[in-house]
Amino acid sequence: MKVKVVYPILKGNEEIAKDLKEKFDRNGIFVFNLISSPGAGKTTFLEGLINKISKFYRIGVIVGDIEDSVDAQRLSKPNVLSVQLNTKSACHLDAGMIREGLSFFDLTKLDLLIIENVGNLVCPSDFYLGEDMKIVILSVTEGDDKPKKYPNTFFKADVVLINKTDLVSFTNFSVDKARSDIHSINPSVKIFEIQATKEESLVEFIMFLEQRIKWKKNQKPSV
Amino acid sequence: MHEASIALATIEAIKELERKEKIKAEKVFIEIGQGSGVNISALSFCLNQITEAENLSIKFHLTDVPIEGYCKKCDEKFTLKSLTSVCPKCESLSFEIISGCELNIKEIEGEEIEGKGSISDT
Repeated sequence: MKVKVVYPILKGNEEIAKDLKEKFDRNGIFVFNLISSPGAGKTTFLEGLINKISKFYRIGVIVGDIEDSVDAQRLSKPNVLSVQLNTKSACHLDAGMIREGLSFFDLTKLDLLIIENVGNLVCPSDFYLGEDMKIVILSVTEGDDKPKKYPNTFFKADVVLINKTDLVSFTNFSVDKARSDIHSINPSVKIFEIQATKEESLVEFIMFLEQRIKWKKNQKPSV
Repeated sequence: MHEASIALATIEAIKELERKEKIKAEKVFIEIGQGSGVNISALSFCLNQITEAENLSIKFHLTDVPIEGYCKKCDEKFTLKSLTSVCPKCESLSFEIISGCELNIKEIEGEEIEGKGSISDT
């Protein structure tokens, strides 16, 4: 007996992610999934972002790492609940892990949920987590060849943050080349140049993010 | 190395299909898009490791699907090396990927049975 089908292998993940998205939408929570190589500056960027906006928004953070909880500790601030997920052998977060992580949050009391994925520029892009936006960080010290080497991740990104731009003069990184390579893969992606250690460099991105948080809040269905 | 997770998800998907179609899977045909981010030989290795460990007698046939895009402006199809949203000929943005992101089970072959499939839940 032969059965012809088109059955997506990641259907299980997609279905959970769809449920998560519905939950986020129902509560008017804006969610972004932050992806980068290890050491690109995800946690430093989030520390800066949280310092700047946590007075105005109720923030939840889910941090994925293979081991340890140092990142969640770094991101635990007043008005911010930070939960660490240890993926052990898995090199990415999947929707089932996010569902588990959500049990620590009261979704009626969140404006923004940040998912800091496991440091990896390959695998996380395959797993939808119910987010509104995928943000990829590319740091100057990694080299400007990374978008062409890891096109899938940049293809699926909504926003790319080029981080550590204060180090450009110490490297052969070309911001123009990085921008043009990213746009050749994904012309609609929004690119910001940042220096995660300097909070004032995040202002432009924060204005962009705040528009989306407010938009999401306004989409919240009235009960 | 997310192929291990993909392999586990494949076994879950087969389990689901066996239940639905009342079949004991012997051969499973899978298509992997070249732009799916999955390495076909790594996935094949992981699937074989799982079937060996679980004592399953399933043979996997993995085929890769090239990345193809269609440009509305040129009215032409192109085979690509990697994913892009820009036409490689006219560089317009009226370009969409039409295949190459697949990660699908295409066919299951096996014995028809009543009840559970070969991958038991218990």
